[in-house]
Amino acid sequence: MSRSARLLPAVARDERGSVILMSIVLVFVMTLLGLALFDLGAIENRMSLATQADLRAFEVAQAGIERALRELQDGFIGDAAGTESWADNDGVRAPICVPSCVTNAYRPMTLANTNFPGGGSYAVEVLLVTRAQSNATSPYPIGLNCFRNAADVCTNLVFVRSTGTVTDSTAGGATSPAPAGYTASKTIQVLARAYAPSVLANGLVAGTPGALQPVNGNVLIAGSVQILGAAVGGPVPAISWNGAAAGIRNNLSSLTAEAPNQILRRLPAQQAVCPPTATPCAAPNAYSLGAEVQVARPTAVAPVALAGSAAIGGAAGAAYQTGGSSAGNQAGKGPLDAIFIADGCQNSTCSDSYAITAPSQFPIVDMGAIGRAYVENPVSPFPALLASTVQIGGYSGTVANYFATRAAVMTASLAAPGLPGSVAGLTSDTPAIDIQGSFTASGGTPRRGCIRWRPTTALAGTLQFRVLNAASGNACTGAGSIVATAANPLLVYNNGPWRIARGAATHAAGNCPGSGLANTEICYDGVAIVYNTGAVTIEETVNSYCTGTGTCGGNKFPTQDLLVLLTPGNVTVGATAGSVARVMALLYAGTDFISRTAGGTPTRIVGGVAANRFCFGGGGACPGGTTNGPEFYQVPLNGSSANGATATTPYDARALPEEVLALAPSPNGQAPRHWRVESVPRLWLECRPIAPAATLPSTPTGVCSY
Amino acid sequence: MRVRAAAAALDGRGITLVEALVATAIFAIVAVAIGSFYVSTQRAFDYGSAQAFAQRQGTLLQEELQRRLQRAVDFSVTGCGSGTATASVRYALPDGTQWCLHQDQKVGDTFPQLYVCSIDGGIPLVTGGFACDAGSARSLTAQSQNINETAARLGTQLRVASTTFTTVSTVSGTPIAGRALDVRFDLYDGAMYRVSTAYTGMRFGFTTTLRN
Repeated sequence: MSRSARLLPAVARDERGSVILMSIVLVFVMTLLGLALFDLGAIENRMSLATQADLRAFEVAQAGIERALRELQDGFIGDAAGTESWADNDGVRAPICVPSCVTNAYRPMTLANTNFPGGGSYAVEVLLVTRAQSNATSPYPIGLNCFRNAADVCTNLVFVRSTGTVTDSTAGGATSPAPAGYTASKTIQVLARAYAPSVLANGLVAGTPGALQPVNGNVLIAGSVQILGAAVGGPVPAISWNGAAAGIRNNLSSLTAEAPNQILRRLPAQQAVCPPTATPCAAPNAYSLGAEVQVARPTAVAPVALAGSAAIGGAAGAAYQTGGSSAGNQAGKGPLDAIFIADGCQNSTCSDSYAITAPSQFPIVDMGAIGRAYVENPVSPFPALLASTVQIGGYSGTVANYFATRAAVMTASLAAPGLPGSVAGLTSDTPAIDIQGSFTASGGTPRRGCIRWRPTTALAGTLQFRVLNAASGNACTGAGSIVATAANPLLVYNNGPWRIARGAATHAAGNCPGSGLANTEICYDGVAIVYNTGAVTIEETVNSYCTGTGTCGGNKFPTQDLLVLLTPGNVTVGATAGSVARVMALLYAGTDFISRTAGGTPTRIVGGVAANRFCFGGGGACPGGTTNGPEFYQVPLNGSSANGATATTPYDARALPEEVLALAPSPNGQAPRHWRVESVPRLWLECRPIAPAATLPSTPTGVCSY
Repeated sequence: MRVRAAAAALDGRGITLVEALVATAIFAIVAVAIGSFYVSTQRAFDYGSAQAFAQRQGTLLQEELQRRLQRAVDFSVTGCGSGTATASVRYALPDGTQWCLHQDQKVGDTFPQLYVCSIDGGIPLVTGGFACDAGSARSLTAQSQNINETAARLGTQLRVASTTFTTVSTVSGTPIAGRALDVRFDLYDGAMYRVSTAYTGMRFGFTTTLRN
C-alpha cells in the first residue's frame, strides 16, 4: 500500500457513485444547451412575430391613407358646387379635424371605426397647404396647381399622414397581435389632390375607336392627353406621329408669336410654380399646364411611336405675359408632369412603352419618371352621351336625356336660315336675331334662356348667351336678364346639326375679333352648353368675347365666356374652308373629331376636346387627311392662384358648369364623380423609423421630410 | 469477505497493466464520446446561430430593399452598376436621383454582394448602360457582418447568389394597376449547415409595388 493511498480516507478511495455524478453533470450541461436552444427558438419566434407585426402595421397605415382619401373625396364632392374645399372647417364634411385643420401643424382627422380586422388600428392626421407652399419646392416639393381660398390656403391640396399601430393585445378579436411587450408602428404620408376627371377639363381625351389609332395624324398638343382605349380592329399604336410639328408640351409657348396675342389675352393669368427638380428654386418661376400623358392601351405594340423629331416634353417654353397676369414674364415648364403608359413595362421583352426613331428625343418628364403604368384597372370606358349615366344636381341618367328633358329646346329656331341649325350655318352675314326657350337649371330651378346674335353694333359678330332666372319672361331683354355664367349657364337642346361657317360681311374694327385677320370671325359672350343630335361643324374662327386689345377682363375663357358643344356624332373643325385661325370651346364628339387644317395655316383649338377618335390627318377610315397638323392648347384652370389674383377670381376647375364636370369616365361601372382624389405621385413617403417614445414632427419635416 | 476486500484494497501491489489499459481505453472512449457530443452540440448551436443570423440579415435586407423601392417613381430591370453585375435594377427616387441595385463581386470582395450605388440622373432609364458614380457603391450585405457579435464569433461572411429582379404586371393572371417588382436572392453566411456545396443559401423573395 502506497503512502498516498493510505492517507486517503476509505470513502474517498471508494469509486462507487461516480457514474451518477457524471450523469448529473451531463444532464446539467444538456439542460443548459436545451434551454439555450429553446431560448434561441423563442427569440426567433419573437423576431418573426415582430417582423410580421411591422409589416402589418405598414399595411394598416396604408389602409388608413386609402380610407382618408375616400373620406376626403366624399367631403370635397359633398360641398356645394363651386365651393368645394378641404379648408372650410365646416365640421360636417371631411376633413374634420380636432380642434380644426390648420396649415402649420398636423391635426387629428376625425374618423369612426379605425380598428383593423385581425388586429391593429390607424390614426390619420391632416395638414392644410398654403398657396405659397404649393407653388414652391421648399419646404415641400409640391409645385402643383392650387385652388386657393380667401385665406390663401389651397382648397384642393392637403397632406395626409396615417400611423398604423399593432399592439400585443388581443382585444377586439385581434388574431395577429404583436409579440408580448412589443408595439409595431409605421407612418405613411401622402399629399392628397382633388381634380376634375371630366373629359372636357383634361386636355385631349380619346376613347376606343373601331379602327386606326385613337389619335390619328400629326398634332401639336399643349397640355394633357388621355387615351382610354385602343383600336378595336387590331394592335396599332395609340399615338403615331412623324414630324417636328407634332408632339406634346407643357406650355403655351407657340402662342407667344401670335399677333396681336388674341388667345393669350383671353386666358386667365397663370399660377407660378417651381418645377419639381432636385434643385429647389428660390421663387416660383414657371407656369405649368399640368400636362400628363396617359395611355391605357394597347400593350401588344408600343402605344406611342414618335419619329421625325416629334417629341414629348422638352426645353422650357418661351416666357410670356398673359393679359391680366402679374408683372413679369414666366417661362412655360419644359418637362411633362407625368407619363403613364399601359402596363409601364420597360423590359427589353416588353412592347408596351415607346418606339422612337432617331433623332427624336426621348420623352422628357419630371424626375425622369417615364415608366409609370396606367393608373386604372379596369380602364374606365369613354363616357357616351347616349348610354353613360351621369349625375348632375339631383339628376341621374344619360347626358342626352338630361338635355332632352331639361334644356331649352331650340331646334326649330336654330334651324332658321343663317342660324347654327341650318344647312348653311351661322355666318357673319346672319342678320341680328334673338331666340328664346325655357329650361331647368341643374338645381331644378326653372329658367328662361336666350341666344342673341348681333352682326354689328357693340356686339358685332357675337353670339350672346343670356338667362332670366324666372319661369317666364323675355330672357333677351327683360328685367333681370343677365349674361349666362358658369354657375348659371344656358342649356340648349338642338335636335339637329350645329354649323358655324365663313361669311362675307366683315365686322367693324375694334369689336369682338379685332385681330387683324379677316373680320368674319364669330365670338360668343357668356356660358352656354349646347347638346346637338347632329354633327358639329366649325369652319370659321370662334373666339370668346373680348373688345379692343385689352386684357379681356371679365371675359376670360372658359370660366366667364364658354361655349360647350356636345354631339354623339362627329365634330369637324377647319376641314373644308380656308384657314381657320382658332376655335376656343369645349367640344365633345361621340364618334370622330376631325380637324385637318385645310387652309394650310394650323388651326389652333383652345379648350378641351373629347372624342372616340381623333382624325388629325391620315386617311382610310379616318375622313380627311393632310400633312398640316392642327394645334391643340389645353385651357389652363389654375388662375385662382396666380400671383396677384384676387381670391375670388373664379379661374379654377370648380368654376366650370356642373354639366361639364359630370362628363367624366366612370371607374368600375360606378356613376362618374365630378371630383376624384388621388395621392400625388412623388409625394408618397414612409416616415423613417423613430424611437418608440418619440413623437412625429408636426409638419412634413424631420423623419417625415421629403 | 469484507475483510478480504478491504485487505485487497489496501494491497500495495496496485493494479495490473491490463487493468490500467482497460481503464484508459474506457476513459478514452467516454472522453471522446463526451467531446464529440460537445462538439456536435456546439456545432448545432453554431448552425442555429448562423441560420438565425442569416435569416435576420435577410429579413433586414428585404425591409431595406422594400423601403427603397416602394418610394421609387420609376424602375427598369436593365443592366446597371458594373460590367460584372449579374443582376440589376435601376430606380429613380422622387428627388430626381437615380440608383442601381445589383449583385456584384467587386474588387476586394471574397464573395458576391448586393450593392446599391447612385448613377447619373436625368438619363432615361431605357437607354441602357449605366455605371455607378465613382465611389458611390455600397454593399448592403457586407456591412452587417462586422458589427454583429454572433457573426464575428462565427466568422461569417455573407454572400449573395441567384439574385433576380422581375417586373410584375399581373397577379394570378390578372393585370394589376401600378408597377410591381419581384425581388429574389439567396443569402449564405458561410457558417450555415448545407447538405452540399450546391446550396447557395437561404432563399428570400418579395414583391413590392411602387407607391409613387
